[in-house]
Amino acid sequence: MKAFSAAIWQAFTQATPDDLWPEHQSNIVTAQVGERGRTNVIVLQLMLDSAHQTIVELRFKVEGCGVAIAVLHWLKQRVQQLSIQDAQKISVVDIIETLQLPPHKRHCAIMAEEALKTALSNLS
Amino acid sequence: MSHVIYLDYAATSPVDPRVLDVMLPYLHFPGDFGNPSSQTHLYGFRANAAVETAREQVAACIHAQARDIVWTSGATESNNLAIKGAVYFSMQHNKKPAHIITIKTEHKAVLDTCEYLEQQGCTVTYLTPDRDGRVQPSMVEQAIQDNTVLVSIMHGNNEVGVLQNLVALGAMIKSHSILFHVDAAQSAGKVPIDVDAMSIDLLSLASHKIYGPKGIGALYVRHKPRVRLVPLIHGGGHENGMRSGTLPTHQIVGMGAAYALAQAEMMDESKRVAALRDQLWLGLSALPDVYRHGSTTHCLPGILNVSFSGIDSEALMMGLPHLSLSTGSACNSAAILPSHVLQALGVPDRLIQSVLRFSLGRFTTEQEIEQVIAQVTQQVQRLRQFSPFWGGL
Repeated sequence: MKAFSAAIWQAFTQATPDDLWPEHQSNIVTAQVGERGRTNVIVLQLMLDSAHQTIVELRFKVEGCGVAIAVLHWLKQRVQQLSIQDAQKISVVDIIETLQLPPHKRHCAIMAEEALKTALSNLS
Repeated sequence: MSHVIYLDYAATSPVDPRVLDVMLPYLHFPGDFGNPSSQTHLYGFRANAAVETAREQVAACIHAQARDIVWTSGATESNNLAIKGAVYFSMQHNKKPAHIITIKTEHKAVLDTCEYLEQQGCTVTYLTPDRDGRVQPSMVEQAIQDNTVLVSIMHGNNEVGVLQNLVALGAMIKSHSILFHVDAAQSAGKVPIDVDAMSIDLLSLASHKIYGPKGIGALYVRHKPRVRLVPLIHGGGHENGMRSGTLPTHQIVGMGAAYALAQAEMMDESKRVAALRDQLWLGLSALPDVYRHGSTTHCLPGILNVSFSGIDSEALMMGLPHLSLSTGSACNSAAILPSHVLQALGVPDRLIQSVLRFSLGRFTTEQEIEQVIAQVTQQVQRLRQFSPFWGGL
């Protein structure tokens, strides 16, 4: 474990565990990425407003390192009350730059983005 | 800065203040800073005398003769000199590739050296230990070939702390007239070692694992019967031609003092540290789904290797900023790199991913262990709630 930025430490420390929603609700979309024992595993859920235009809340579970927890906590804050259209624009670069991820931890951002994009694609 | 509890003694230990006091006069005027090889003036004579006293102190700790101790830069160099030196000598005289036997749980200083020799045409058998981490003499004996030159087995494992039965292994290896090398970087000064009773021909020793300075180590090389090595470093013929280079008197004096202290205090200290380790395990095992790895009966007093199911060990370490620990895996890329030691013990990847190594030492206190149990328990309970697999999924 190498030294991380203050932004990563803050997000990791502030992160609180979520209870996932039951999946079979029309305003909930779920995505799971990763392979247990080989990579991080992320389960990400989005709750949408009744018009399916805005993200009301993001919840997640993750089996992964502390940076993965920090990234998902940041993403949770970032997408709250964001339109689907704007959420689609969130990129790996945003995550890496905002949290100042070191090169050996950039895969945490890649997997978080993949989980978000997969959940959004499950909307249709 | 808040107090950070140090539980990484297997990585390195602080220099004991008593050792530091002994070292300082060998660095400056008007002390004995001279070159021990300078045999033309008093500074050299005194430095040489100090080096020879330290040689006796280190030798005494392993029941060896002082003349059998060769100074090196550390246990990694000692392992290189022992393995390459013995194999090169054999290849020069027998004119055929050598075979080496070792185990999969060795330190990289041994494994990488063996891998290098494979590139030079040697063959290596890597034995898989049992689930406790031990190898039996029969397992080694079955691997012996006509051209086996050397068996290299570590005494105390740096990750799980398991101790090998060197008396039984050494007797069997000796009966086949094969050289027996032991990496004792973790065990020397902590548990008894007797090179004669264990039939050891070559023994690698570290200083910084036993409260001496970094940058100095030693290799025991048996004289009777004489073990012949090809030197790896040339330039002056120091250490009877086996390791050239100006001797760092202050480092050597420090290593000697550290070994003398370790020998004098070994029984009391190992009992005290083992009691702290047991206290730690008792506290941590109150959590559900925690697993201890390696033999619990044949082990170093200060090492405890534990998996906390459902948690990534790097996340746990981030949650424990006031503890200094090591993990058994590293998430350094998209893939997780698991510990080769735990893999060889048959530990499932998901548990290797959740391993912490606690290594306790001379300055660890009961109060610190209580704080460690409380902090780890709180973080394990918190982080398990993040896992999609914790709680029955």
